[in-house]
Amino acid sequence: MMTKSAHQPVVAVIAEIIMTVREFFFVVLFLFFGHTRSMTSRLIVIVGLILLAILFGVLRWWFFTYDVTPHEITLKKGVFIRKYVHMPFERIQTITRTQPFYFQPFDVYRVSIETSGKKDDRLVFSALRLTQIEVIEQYRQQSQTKTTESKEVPKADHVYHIQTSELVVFALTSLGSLGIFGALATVISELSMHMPQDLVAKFDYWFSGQTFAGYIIILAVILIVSLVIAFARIYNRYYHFTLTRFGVHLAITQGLLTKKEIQLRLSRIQAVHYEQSLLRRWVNLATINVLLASSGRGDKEKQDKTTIIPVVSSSKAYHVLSDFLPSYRLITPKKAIGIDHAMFYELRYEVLMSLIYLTLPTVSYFGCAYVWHWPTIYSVIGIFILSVLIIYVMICAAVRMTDQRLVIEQETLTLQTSQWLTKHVYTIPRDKIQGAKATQSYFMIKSQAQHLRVIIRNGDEAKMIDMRYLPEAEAERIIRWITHVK
Amino acid sequence: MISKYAQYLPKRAKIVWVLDDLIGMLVLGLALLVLNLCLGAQWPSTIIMVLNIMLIVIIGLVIGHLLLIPYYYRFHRYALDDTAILIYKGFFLRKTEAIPLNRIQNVDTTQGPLLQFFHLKRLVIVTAAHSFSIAAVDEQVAQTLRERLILAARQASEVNNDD
Repeated sequence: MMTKSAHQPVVAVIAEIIMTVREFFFVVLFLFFGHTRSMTSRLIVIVGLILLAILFGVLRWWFFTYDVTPHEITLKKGVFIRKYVHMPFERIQTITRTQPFYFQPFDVYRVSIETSGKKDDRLVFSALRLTQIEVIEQYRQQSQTKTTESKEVPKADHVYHIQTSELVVFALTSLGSLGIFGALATVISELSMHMPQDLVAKFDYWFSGQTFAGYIIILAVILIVSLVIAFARIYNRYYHFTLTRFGVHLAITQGLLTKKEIQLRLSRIQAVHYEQSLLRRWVNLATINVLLASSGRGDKEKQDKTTIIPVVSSSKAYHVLSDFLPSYRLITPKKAIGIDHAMFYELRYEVLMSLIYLTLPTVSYFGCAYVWHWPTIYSVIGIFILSVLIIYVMICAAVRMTDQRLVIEQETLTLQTSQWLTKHVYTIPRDKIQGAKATQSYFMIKSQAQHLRVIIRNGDEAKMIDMRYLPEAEAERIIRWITHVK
Repeated sequence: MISKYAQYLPKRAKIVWVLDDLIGMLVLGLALLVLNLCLGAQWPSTIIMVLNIMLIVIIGLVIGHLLLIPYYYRFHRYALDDTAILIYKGFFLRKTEAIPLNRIQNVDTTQGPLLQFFHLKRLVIVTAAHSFSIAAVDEQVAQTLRERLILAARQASEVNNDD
């Protein structure tokens, strides 16, 4: 039962005109003030803009049509490039209406319809009448009706409190201090701009008069201060961290100065993420995060993962978690995965990539150094730093290949990998996997190897987890398992 | 292994890609002419040189793309079976993308003037996390595919799975 394509109310033209004016504003500003112009030419610019805006407004309105059927909304828009957007009602997450002041006399609203999809995956109507909006909302309710949930406040099933000693260990093993170091440097340079000139001069004089030992001491002081700041920040953030499970919901409360509370539905969890940095590997501690499906717009902290247990002994982690995530099969994968000599191939790949990326800069550097007679000591230092970097990259690659694990058990995929020496284990229910990708270069055909990329959702974005040099048959088996989802 | 259902894009897609590249080269060539004939005398010669090099490199890339069109076409295939949509690309760097039908959020079609002229559409498949596209399919096929995908997506209603 297809309805006839409809235009928006004519009032929408106003909104389109305003939008066009906004888009051309800076061009017009440039034309208006760009050169010394006479009054008449300025007038022409203004009149031109208004005419252009009206023309575009009308065109945009004319070419924007929509259909509403009980199942989906279809939009057709675009003057030069026709764009068709289809949105089934089941997928709608929110319908937001706003009413700018110039819409009030007409009783129309700007409507934005969002799905849980990506950022730009939404429909925006410049103007719709209330009756038209109600039709859409009604269809949405019809297609999203489900059995009612009990409204009574449930009792807490399980509670986890962070111990002060644990929090201290967590803060001490967090390597956030390097970032703080940079921030501190910025603050100092900013401060010196505003301090009285003679004071800065005195400090400069004192600073340049230091011996080598003096510089070391200054560096140490800065390092200690930044460590203290990093510690205080984490202590403040995770103070009194409490995780509670009420039925199918988790609640997290945390914070000393800024208190924060997060409530989430277990079904919104896309994956459980076990994280262990090199430092925490040595002390057998781990952090547990969850990846969530949220639009996360305008909320920077929500973009990344949500921590549900800041620090826990790595051997007990999954035991503690099982109370909070009862439906998850949390296992520690044991068997390494990869074709024979996968480590060799991976290291070879890293060496080749390093050569490709470094050849041009290195050759140009030595060219310049030769032409302009740069001191040799720079080249020596440069080569030293480069070799250290390459060795580090190789070590990371080797650790990644050793850490790489993959297990499918019932409806759960467990992937273990490491990145820059930090170990990550993802436990992903089959129905939360959004897609998979297998890649194989020409050189991998003989060894029958494939890289596998599993795509899940994190916040508003895609999270890719890569497994390298898997046997081709294994990669195909996993893709088949992923696509045969209910 | 490539699915037995895998299909090639319509042959017209090649013509569209060639025209796309030719138009791009025309625009870049015009920019090169304007740069050297009109602005050459006014702007500092270093800037002109840098811009020239940049434009020539870009033109080179477009020519490279133009020459590789038969290659892209030959190895670009898609397959739709009961559970997933699969997309294959490349020979030297082989990529297989798989999306379970049940994870598809929605399917959009776009059509620029060239595609419109050749009755082709670009199909964009959106999941909750990412999106990917099939460069050009027949208008009719686009419609059928879209309907099938939407139907599959509706059957796996997200709302019903929400517990």
